[in-house]
Amino acid sequence: MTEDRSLYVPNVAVIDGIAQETWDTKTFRAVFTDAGLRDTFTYHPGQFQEVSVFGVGEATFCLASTPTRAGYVEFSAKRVGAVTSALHELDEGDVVGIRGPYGNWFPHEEMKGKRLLFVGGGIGMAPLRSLLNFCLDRRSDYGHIDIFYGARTPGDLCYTEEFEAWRNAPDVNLYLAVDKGDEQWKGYVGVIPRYVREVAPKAENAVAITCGPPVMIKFTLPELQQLGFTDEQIITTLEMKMKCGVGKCGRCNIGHTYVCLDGPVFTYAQIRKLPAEF
Amino acid sequence: MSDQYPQLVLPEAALREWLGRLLASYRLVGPVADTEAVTSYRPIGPESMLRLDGPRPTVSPKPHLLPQTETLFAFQGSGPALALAPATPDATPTVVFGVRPCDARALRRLDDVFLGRNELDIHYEGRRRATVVVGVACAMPSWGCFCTSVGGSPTGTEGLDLLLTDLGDRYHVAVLTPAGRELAATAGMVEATVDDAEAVRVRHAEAAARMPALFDLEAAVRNVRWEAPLWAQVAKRCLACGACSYLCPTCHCFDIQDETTFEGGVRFRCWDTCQFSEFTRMGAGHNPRPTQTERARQRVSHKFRYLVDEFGRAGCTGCGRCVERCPVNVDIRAILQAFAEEGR
Repeated sequence: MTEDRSLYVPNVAVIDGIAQETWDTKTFRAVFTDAGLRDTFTYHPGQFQEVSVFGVGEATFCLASTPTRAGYVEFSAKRVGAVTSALHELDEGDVVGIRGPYGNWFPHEEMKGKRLLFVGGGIGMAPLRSLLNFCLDRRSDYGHIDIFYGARTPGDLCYTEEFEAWRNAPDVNLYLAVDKGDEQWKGYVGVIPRYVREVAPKAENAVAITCGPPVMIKFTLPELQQLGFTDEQIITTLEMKMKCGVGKCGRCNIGHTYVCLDGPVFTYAQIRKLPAEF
Repeated sequence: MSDQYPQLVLPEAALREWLGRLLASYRLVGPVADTEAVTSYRPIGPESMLRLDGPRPTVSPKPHLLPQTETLFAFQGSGPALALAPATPDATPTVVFGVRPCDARALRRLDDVFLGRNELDIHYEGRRRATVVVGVACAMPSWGCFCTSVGGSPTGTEGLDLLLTDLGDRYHVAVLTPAGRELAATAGMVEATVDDAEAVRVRHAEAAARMPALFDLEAAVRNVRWEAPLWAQVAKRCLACGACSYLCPTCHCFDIQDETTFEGGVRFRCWDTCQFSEFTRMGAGHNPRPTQTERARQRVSHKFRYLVDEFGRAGCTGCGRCVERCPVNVDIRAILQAFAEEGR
């Protein structure tokens, strides 16, 4: 980025794919209109971007795609506010603004050679999907992978189209869970923390990456600790309201920590040191 | 005072002529009396009456560096035909004249955030780099002032290019930077004499005597803490009007919003404040700072803990505007004093 360019001016991207994940969540695939940027743009799993609908505003989304699949970016949006509602109204061919990537990322270099345990809930699977697909694209770099993914009902699970690919990847186990099943659901019914306890993945030489509703994380942490995971072995990503994404607008801090600059990825050891204001 | 730069004197009668000369090359901003009681920094013309000896201006010069509302870019059209027109940073050469030392120090705090900390903000940078700051030693503190309690001085030079001291029939002019030297060269100034230097020393000593420190800043900073019961007490009074932040010369937090017309629209930023509940409320409704208690803690802790840790400077210069303009008399001096005296 050159110095005469405003950091607040986004790159324009065309929506070239929309997946209806659940009744209130869509995943958007966007391609930068600038061909040079399309080829050179890269990022790390865990980073976020500011996505805007011109005339409505900007909101913060983690990148749900992996940089190993170049040429486009993906982000998932649950319809909750003005910007996400406007996003949900978009069709293929419409344009959005994208700034970023911002923030730190999952330490994928340090994860090499380790067992990975993904624990996701609901739309919290989005940043985990980025890292998961990244690791699957470089499968030999990583050890055994367990994926726990839960939602309220089968209809609330995102990325269902990819479940087969995840399940069939070498040395990967996919554990899906719902709080409440339906007629077709043949999988696990129950909360994720209990499922993790039952399967009991090994903590040795492993990293747990978790993101989801606070209640899921709250009850999963003791299970992971019970399995022998230390606070340094548990990684999560935090969500705060942001505007600028680069430490200027002053709203995403948790005490001393700016989530946009110091995060959004933190180990549980780091999170324990933060004041409880997130 | 710096030794490598000259100490000059400008006759009072020559001030107007100098300002007239500056107007030919600069946009000039200075304190103008709106009423007997209210003074603001405004763009001034040849006929404007500058009020250098009045009380501290009601609003700081912040709006001239960080406007309350500022367009970031415009957009037009839709779909692949959408066109963005970035706003050109305003680099009009500007002199902000008659700035109080408290307000000049505040600019350093804005610099920390917008010129430092990760990415450069070219909108702020454009104005900042084009601005020369001419200060005036403060001879008339307001009742809410407390600059000396937060490491400042009514005659301090931090953030200034020139410092004027009113000596009655003449101004002593301390040159502090190359930009200040360039600006001073446009006036018919003479070298200050030993008598002038003595007169300045006396004036500055008088100014300092008018402004005793109220509390020990280091002790206050050390004791500002998360669990303090004081936050809830402040919150009980606070109306969340945000006047403290909007008048604060160092508060920099902003929002980014879009505004549309039939053909397109603009994305702009505007001042915002941690005192508003919307500031941190997320799309799905969760608010990590749900009550005014957390917001009171955020404002004071940000200024006196987080910024101190990050930049080594508190985000407060003791200008006292928040103290004087709070509709319910929340007094940040009392808050800091209470912390400073804890455990003594």
